[in-house]
Amino acid sequence: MDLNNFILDNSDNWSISGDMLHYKKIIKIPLCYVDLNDVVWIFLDARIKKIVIKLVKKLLKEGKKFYFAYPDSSNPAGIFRYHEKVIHHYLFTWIRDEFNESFNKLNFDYIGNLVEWVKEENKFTELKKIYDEVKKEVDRSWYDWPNKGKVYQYPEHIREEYLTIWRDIQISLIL
Amino acid sequence: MRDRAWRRHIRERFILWRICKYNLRSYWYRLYEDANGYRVDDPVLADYIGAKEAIYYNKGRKRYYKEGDKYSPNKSHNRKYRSWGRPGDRPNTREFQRRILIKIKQEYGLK
Repeated sequence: MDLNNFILDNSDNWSISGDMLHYKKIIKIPLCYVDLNDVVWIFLDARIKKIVIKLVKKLLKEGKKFYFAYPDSSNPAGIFRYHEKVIHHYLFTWIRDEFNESFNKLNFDYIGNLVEWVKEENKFTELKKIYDEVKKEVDRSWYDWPNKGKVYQYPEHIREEYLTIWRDIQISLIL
Repeated sequence: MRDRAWRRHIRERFILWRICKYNLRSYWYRLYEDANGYRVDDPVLADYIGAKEAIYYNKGRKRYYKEGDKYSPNKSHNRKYRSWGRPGDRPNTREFQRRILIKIKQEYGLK
């Protein structure tokens, strides 16, 4: 699979160095690479949100297999506890609500994509562990003394929907 | 040749200068939060891009006021509380509330 096929426009922002496609936004930010099994790995990076969404749209049209990677894993030295960080990044970006709306518009099953990868790697126990860890982050709150009320870090719809994610994961595991 | 590429190069250089000037490396208490929401101990240039402060680098305006809103924050005479963005950016403005009201009306089928 050629990386030149993933270049979306004619601008001079695109560059390929090594086995990776980069997009320039002040500096060159890694965007994607292709695995030996012809699987495309997109770095799920909020810095280049629009480009990531466009690339996902293109890959969905072409029907290619792709997964999302942790941005720091572009480091050739590698990262410690790779699988755990990828799963954490999947869930953490879901919480932050950066890509949810646009993925829903594309009818892209984000959680299904995660589960598909977890199935391949047999990391279900770690998924459960990280899910519980992120749940603590979602429910983070503090007491606002001047206004006399509890303040949550994340909005209500995220907190409620996060509880239903585990059900979605189990359903997609069965399917 | 002052074409598009030249203008872009100057703009990028200006943004880099701003980053150096405001020196956001002094986030000793809560660490620096990058665009992906991770806390970075010793941020480098790549961590600043797309972060909350990137708005300030690009447009020269600060974050929205969360406190201290007045009745008419969009009035031009009210410089302290005025929004530097588009009218209706902030939740406590007339334009913003009007949009919410329209949504509620649409839910109940009144509009």
